[in-house]
Amino acid sequence: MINLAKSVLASAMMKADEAEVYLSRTKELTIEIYDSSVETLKEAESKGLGIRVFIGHNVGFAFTSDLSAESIEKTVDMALQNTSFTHGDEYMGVAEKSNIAYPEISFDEALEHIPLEKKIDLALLAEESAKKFDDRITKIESCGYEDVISEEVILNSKGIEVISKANYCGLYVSLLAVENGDTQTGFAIDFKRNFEQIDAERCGKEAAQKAVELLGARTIHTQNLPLIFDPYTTTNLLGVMASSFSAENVLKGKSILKGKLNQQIMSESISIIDDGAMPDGIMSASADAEGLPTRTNILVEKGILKTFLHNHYTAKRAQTQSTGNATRSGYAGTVGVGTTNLYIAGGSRTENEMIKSVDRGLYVTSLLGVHTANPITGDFSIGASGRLIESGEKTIPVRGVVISGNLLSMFRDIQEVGNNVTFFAGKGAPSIRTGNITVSGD
Amino acid sequence: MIYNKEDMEKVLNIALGRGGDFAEIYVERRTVNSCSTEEAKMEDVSFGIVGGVGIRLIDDDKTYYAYTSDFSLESLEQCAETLSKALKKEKKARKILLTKLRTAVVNPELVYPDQVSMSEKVALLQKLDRFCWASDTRVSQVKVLYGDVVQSIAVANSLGELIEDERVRTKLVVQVIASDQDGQIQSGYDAMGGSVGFELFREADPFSVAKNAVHRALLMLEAKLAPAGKMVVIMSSEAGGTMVHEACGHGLEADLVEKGLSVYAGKIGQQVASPLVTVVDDGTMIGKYGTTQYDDEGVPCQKNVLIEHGILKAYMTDRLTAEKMNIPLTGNGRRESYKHKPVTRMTNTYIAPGQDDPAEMIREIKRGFFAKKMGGGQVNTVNGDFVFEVSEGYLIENGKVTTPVKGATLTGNGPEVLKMIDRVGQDLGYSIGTCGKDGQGVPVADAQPTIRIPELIVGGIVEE
Repeated sequence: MINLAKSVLASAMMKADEAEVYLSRTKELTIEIYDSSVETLKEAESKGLGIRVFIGHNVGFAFTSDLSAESIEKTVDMALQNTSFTHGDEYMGVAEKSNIAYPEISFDEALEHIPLEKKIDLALLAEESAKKFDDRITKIESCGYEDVISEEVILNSKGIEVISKANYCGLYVSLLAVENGDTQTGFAIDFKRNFEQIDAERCGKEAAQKAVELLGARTIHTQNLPLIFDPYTTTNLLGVMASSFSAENVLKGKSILKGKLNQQIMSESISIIDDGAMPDGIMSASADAEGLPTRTNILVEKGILKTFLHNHYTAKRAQTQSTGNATRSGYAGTVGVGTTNLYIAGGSRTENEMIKSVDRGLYVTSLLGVHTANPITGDFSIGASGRLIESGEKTIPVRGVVISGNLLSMFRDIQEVGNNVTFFAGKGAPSIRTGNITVSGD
Repeated sequence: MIYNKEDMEKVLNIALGRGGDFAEIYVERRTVNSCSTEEAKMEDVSFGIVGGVGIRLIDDDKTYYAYTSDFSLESLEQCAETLSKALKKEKKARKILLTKLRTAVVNPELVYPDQVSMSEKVALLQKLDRFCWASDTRVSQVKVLYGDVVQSIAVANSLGELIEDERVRTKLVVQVIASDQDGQIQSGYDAMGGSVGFELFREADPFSVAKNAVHRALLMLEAKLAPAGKMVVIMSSEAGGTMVHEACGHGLEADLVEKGLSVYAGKIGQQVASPLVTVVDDGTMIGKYGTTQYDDEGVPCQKNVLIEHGILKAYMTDRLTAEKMNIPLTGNGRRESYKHKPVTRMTNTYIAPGQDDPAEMIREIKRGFFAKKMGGGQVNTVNGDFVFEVSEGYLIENGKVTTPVKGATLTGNGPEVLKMIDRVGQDLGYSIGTCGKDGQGVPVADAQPTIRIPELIVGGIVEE
């Protein structure tokens, strides 16, 4: 791979002032289980190449999954041609070598050699654990195992040369519980870097519990209530806010956090960290998508906004250092800024203690339409289900309500943070308790 | 195409070497161009070639799938070999001859993306970009994005079919951010697109997309917070068909029905919606975003009436579900790319127009909610619960559309809403989008006339 990348770089540099080659190879395995047997088995390998070139300040990009000499030649040529249509500024260019060390990231060498049967058994165990949990679990909608092993080469004309290997593996379960004609759904995932850390039984049970807990749910009257979001729904909300931390969005006026560096933007109980070097993180890699070392970045410390996330370009423009957060969506994507392993740090209370302290509120375990929340303004109005909290106890199940407000205002008014940080793939959070939020019902 | 008939036969025969009920090769190659402006300049111009081959083997309703991005015949043979070995019980091998060859007809009006220079595409984008910036001083960011794709596919299968199709799609997206002196930021969005080439912009005005995006961003700056609670809702035809797609369409996809995961399972011939409601999925509508001549399994697309005057008539199928359920093929087997097995998917889905005058429908209402444009949404297909965001909404007071509101969401239950609809307008409005299911995105169009829903929960804010 490295030799191919080198020759592509050399051919681009015959006409370009600067160039960067990104080459990736991905192996994936997917096992879908239905009714206690394998329904679909998918095995595959794919490759692709993306090339970014600069002539003056102008950038051009092209990509190909066809690594034949002819297609590569056309791709390089198109990348060069595309520079004639773009207009860049003096900050444009490929990344320069950093003197920060590349972190060591674990790679599960064993994953590729684990027999297929063992992976199938793990998915079957998740399905069985879910079914056994409660006899009201009538149907497993989908259940499966997936693993991905990838290798990336990033090479640029300023001497960056990085080869990084990554992998992840895990399970997902989604299912139905039925009682008295009412159907509720439950969902759980468990993705890890290391195969041995996947807990199939817990994953199955968690999905089952979520569905069963909602049986008999109904809507409630419109009212303002404090909410307790469980780790999964808090993580969903964190996901909406993630793009606001991107310096690219800040520079373009598309972030609600613009102009708020070093200000108290959230409650003192909230700290948010992005850690591309986290040893067991699904999104960890020794280098980012431009080949710069990843690191631990504290974005919000006790409610104060400490830094934005940068790639090479945004850092130069903002006269700071890259935080190692260049991203791209595979070889076909241009370089942007994004999060790696993003999480809200845990507090001291257990979730139970948090629930006990609420006289009347809503415990939220599932959100519908989270992606419709507006990351630019922070405004949200999304479907929720969970359980009513009365006198410190979870009581009737609730569905079909909408919770509305503004994310930033809500995070300014967080009353309590749990000690139960849980990761769902690349993002994680503990339970949180909010101030009063409008719950629209009938 | 890349392979001749004999190559395809060879690979199919390797896949079926140890038995199997069905084998299929899907060959795909696409070239894509995209460009976008932001910060008042051309920011990205990109070109790409993507492709590969996916091979599927079905035996006893189990699917074995392998794909490769390497077009060499050896690589295909290797994939086929892997699949054949995955079968637990060896059965008799079959020899396949490809005898039913069909190729899609090219539309003579089509202006291929490569017949238009990148400079012309860039020039159009710059004009739209300048137009947005010049429309109001409160416009603080503009992103205009153009994309085209030419996708060539070939499907060869153990039924002896070899089908070749070509799809050309073009789209334009405008996103505008507006901010006021109080530091409030709002965004507006609009898009156009179709299964067409550059003639898209001759047949419809790209400036109207820019105008709509600017208008929505500015309107939201002045909008009041949405009220909360149950209201009568008029959903404009301009809202597009997101509601019918999400709240009803997914439940009519046979894979969900077959597994008992749909509220519509076992209800063929029953009244499932108001008699005013007819729902159609039609993959043959010329130029629409979800249109193809053949689906991704090589089955010709067709017009499928799913619900007629409220009676459930049919489900959408792909090969596997049609076979399992013993119902007709409808041409709805679609996939995102060669990396994915086909699943049952919608194409262009709409509620058919009715008899009512949209203006009259509003005049009848004393107090209600007018959803002029819908944003994204999500539905729980199992119980039909849905949530949709309203990207342009107003209050209706004494028969008139009045105050614009922001941050509104409509929530309800799809099947219940379809039964409640009590007015259906004579108009029909389309929206385009990418529908996600099982981790695969495919282009779709959705449409609906102006409809009235007597009671729906509007999610908003109660001021304390």
